Amino acid sequence: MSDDALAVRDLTKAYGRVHALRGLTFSVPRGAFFGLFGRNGAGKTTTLDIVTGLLPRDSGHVTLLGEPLRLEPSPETKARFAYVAGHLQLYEWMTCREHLDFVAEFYPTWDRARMKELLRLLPLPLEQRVGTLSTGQTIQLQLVMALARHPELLLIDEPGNLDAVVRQRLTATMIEVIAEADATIVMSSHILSELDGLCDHLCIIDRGVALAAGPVEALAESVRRLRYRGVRSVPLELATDGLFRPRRAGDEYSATMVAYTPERAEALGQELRADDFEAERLGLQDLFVALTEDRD
Amino acid sequence: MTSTARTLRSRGVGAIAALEFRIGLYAWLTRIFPAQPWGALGAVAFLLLAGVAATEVTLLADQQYAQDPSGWAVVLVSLGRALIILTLAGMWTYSDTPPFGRRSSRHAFRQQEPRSHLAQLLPLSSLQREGAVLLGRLFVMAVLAAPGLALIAAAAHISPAGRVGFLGLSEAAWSAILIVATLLLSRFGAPGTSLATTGVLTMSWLPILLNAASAPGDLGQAPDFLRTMLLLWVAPAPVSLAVRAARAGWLALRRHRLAAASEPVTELPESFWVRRDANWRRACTPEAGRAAWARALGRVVAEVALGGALGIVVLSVLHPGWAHFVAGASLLVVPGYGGALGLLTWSGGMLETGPRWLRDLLPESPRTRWRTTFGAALLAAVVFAGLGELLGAGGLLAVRALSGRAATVPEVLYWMPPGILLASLIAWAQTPFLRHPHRIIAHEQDFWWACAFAVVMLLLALPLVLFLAAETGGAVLPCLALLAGLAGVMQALSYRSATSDVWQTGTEAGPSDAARREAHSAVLLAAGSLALAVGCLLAMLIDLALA
Repeated sequence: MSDDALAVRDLTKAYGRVHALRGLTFSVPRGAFFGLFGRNGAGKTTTLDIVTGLLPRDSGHVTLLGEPLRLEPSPETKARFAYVAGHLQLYEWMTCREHLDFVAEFYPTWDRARMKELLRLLPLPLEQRVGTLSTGQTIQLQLVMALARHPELLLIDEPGNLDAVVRQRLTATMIEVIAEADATIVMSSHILSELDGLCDHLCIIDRGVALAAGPVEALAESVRRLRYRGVRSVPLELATDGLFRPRRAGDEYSATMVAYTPERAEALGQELRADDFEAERLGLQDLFVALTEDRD
Repeated sequence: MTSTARTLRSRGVGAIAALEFRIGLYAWLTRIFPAQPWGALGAVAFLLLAGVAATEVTLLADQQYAQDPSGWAVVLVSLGRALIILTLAGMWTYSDTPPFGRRSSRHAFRQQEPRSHLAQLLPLSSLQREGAVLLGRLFVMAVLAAPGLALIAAAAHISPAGRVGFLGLSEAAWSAILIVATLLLSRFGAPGTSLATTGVLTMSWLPILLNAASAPGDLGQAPDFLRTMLLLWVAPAPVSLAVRAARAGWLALRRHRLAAASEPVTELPESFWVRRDANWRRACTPEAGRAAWARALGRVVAEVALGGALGIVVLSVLHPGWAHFVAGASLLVVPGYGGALGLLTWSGGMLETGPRWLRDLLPESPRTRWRTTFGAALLAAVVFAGLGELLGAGGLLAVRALSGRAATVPEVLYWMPPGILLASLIAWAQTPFLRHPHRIIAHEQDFWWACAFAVVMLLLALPLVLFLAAETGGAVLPCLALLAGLAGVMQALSYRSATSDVWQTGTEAGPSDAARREAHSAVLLAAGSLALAVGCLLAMLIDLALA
């Protein structure tokens, strides 16, 4: 059995002339809390829709819970993952209770006690029609439907519409899910604060390609903001591979280095004939800005 | 898989089927009885029209029905048929119908289907899911069609050994076929092709109604029953019509041979299809023959009017997209009939041995005249409803489609009623058809009216056809042309058949030269129409192959 709960390789998808995914590649280890981060239109929702079989891909390979994806996941695999997304179509004319009862019919692992507990944490108007729920409530309903059946893999797309209290409860619930059953969570967002401090793996995507992917700690370690002082000259032939946001102000030169190593930073300093330099560790936000700014 | 999981999976399939059943019922209800007042009025009007017209056509078909001691059985069959038509018409629009009265868009309804995201994520294979959906739809159809089938069964029970018994059985079989076909089309029909296919299928019940009118006795005799079932119920409308026309041509040929082989015809053999016509048998003189011919002509008017009116009323009321299709088809086919009537009128006027005007040939029976009037009124309604729609919505949408802007079908819904109302008022106030419906083919100049009418209708239909072509990727264009071509074949053969009626009641020397010329013209017309039909068929096949 593969160690990855989800693996995506060279995934492409185009909507007419708009290329949403251009060879996206990343993998999600089992038991990870994986953040899929990118701006609006980066391809996050398209990726998750393809992975769950809602959307056909143009090319590429997807392995979901050890099963290579064809047109859609097998029923057995479907029973093992859950997908929560604001754009998912529910039956708007059903009440919340009817929805829960309807979905419960399909899952052998449906846990009614867990459902009640979840409904206590994420309260819902059970007799209200789904079409009249707010976006946040709809996501809450989906979360209850997803978590009440103990999924091995939980995919959440943009839970940004939840209020602060519910979000806090959701976070606690998800951490509990991971701790209890060693489940895997993949959460996409364009708000980094939703992922920062929560996920242990991250993939930053922009315009359909992965700019960086891996454990958050490793990502943070591998990207530094370098500041060189006493720079005498910046050669025209300066190698800029892996350098982002280069700036020069007087005898100071600064740049963001991806795949940072002290040796690479030292070598750059020698090319600049700098007196000394310092390497500043970046937060995820800075990391993202550094990676995407030059692409605009 | 554990037994618990298997049980849950089975329950899941049942849940999808139940869901589909629930959605289907709501979809049908909201389509048949829409929330808007005019829609409800339209639905009620449709019910009345369908029941009355179906009964009327049945009575028109064979006067024996009216004399049948089990007359109530006929009424039951007619009402049952109307209910089934209602069911099918509602279900044909199924895949485009938003449930719970929501009319936002077709997209909104697709969200409600069991093919929605939620259903796709449920642990079922696509096969299980589709099977469950079909099961659910089958339940919907069964429940909706049950009252109609029950009425027909009751009719068969009342008159088990008579003609109505056969009629009941045949109706039940026909309904079952249509139900299954509708079920499959509603589920698997591709957007473009399903519109065209369902349109053709929709019209396939018209010849069922018309069939009774064309050949009395067909439904009551076992060999004809089987043949009719095979040819009319399975084949789409144009094929059915063509087969009917061929049969009419064959009968005409037989009559002609008999006439040529015998002495001057003063008495018709018993094997003639008009043998049950008391008027014909009573006085088989040339004049009586012409009267019978004129009556047959009136019957053509009535049956075309009834069939067309039913089609347009049902589909216009029930679905705007279909209204476009049927209006387009009607506008192509009806002028064809107009042309046929014009030709017949002209030939009637030019016959050397006949009276000058067909007005003189119109049947004197008040009952037949009333039927002709009724048919003419509906014919006018069909034409002017289509005209109103074209002017109101079809033209607008065609312009939009041609200009590259997206055309949304629901818009038609709001344009159509005022268009129909206005056009109907204009028609009522101004057209001689409605003022003097019994004179619809009363004068030679009506031929030119018919020609002008056909040209205008075709011109008006043009933007609609272009719109449909744009909407369906061109697939519907050859279909419409095919319909028109086959209708041409039918009308030509019917014309020849009608002309043959005159031959055998002509002078002792046989058919007049004028009649011969007309017959030759009819053959040429039939050949041309057939060539057109074959060409259209080839175009359609090429279109399909390229697609």
